[in-house]
Amino acid sequence: MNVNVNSLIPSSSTDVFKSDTVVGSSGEVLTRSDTKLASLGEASTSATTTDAATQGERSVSRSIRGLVVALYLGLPPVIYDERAHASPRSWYWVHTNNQTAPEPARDEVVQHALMNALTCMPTDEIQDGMTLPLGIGIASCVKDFGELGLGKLASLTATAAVDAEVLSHALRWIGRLEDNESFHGRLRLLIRVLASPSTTVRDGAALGLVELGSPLAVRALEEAASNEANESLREDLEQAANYLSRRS
Amino acid sequence: MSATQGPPTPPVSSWLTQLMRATVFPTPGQPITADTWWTDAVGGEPETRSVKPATRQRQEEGPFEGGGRLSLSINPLGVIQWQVTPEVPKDIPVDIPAVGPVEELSKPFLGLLNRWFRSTTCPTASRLAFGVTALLPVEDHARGYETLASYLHALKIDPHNSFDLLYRINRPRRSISEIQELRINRLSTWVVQKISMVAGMESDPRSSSVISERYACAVELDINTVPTFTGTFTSRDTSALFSELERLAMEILAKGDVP
Repeated sequence: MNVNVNSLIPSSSTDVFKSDTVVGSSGEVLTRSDTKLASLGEASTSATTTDAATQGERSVSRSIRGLVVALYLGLPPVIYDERAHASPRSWYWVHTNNQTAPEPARDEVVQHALMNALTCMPTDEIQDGMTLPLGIGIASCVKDFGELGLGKLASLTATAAVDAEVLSHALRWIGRLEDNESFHGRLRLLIRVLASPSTTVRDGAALGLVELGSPLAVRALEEAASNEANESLREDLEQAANYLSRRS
Repeated sequence: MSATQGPPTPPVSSWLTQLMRATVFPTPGQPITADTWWTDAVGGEPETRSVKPATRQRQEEGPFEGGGRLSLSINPLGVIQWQVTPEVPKDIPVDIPAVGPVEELSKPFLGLLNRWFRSTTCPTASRLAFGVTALLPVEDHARGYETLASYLHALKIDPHNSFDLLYRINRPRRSISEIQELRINRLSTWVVQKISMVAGMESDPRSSSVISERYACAVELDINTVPTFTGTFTSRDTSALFSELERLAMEILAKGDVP
């Protein structure tokens, strides 16, 4: 059995920032400075693409010169001389082990699984409301990746990478799942997505919150209703807030 | 084999910090107003700040005690993390970069967190985590496994004919705090790392070569309150709980994998 150790996320794990990136206002990618080191197969020449590799790529954004050395050697440098421009020397640390199979970064695994779930059905079938395969995929992502998967889904709702109708239905499934461990994470996601730029996605988040049934969402729904420009959606948000208030 | 048998463990002060973090999962539905948090907790402005308004992500960074680099991050779900990692060394490093002994760093780190908890905009939380990635330098591969064996009491390791060991376990415990029925996950992941230092001339990548190698026992600790807790931690609870989480981390660094 081929087990990808880096993509296994224990259910008790909380390291949700391991692969986060933040894009600055001028478009530059800024990242947290993690110091995990890169991995390199001791007996092989196959550079692995572990979490550390992703971090390595991020570190590379600090210094193009570091990248030149790293790419030549096929290594993802993680800690290296940031002042390469001031010095002819470049340096970095790498881990070595005997692994030969490249492992995808955890980030990539989560992103891939989410995109698989969100694109598993044609959009016209989604619009018909027959969305069970989508629900199965979303449930699997929540179970396998927990808060990390939910965070990635939150990021996707702010982009045009996925059809808004699909996202809207995915959010309804997020509210529908029966999983105590991810309850608060799903609630955070749905509340955050109430601020999505897409009316369709905001509508899906509101419906998801009704499905989830937590009174903790009332204040956020009321606030979203007060800011909502779309009259029909504003009424729906108010109804959702009233419904959850009555449940508390 | 019982926890009291086997070789003695090195002193806790031997463990160096590669990463220390505090992760706070706010109670859902609260507004996250982070504008003053860095100033409230650190006392000045961060060196860098970036925000991504569409997903409400935020990251701030600046120097920390003992040659560390502090960062404050907020993810798209509003989860907040304070983290310390080593600064990039000013010259080619002789040793693996670290912020210093874990037990020395944890005190100022908890102090920073307590100043943040007193901030009027610090949110209440539904889940908390204290994470540490610690390194214990050793002479070589065999010595690494011999040392690791003193921490992993249930495991018998042949130090000369074993490689690539990865040991991960969660040993949950009930919290000693006043909060009823609160359980704490004690997740630890143990390995021996061989770390190579590669350096070369910038103008000629082919000149790059391994100039030194180091071995270290490494443990990644993720001490966290269970996600199924349905209550809310006030700032007072949070302060007390982080002290408890930190003590549990120190216990693992001192005694290894014990129930």
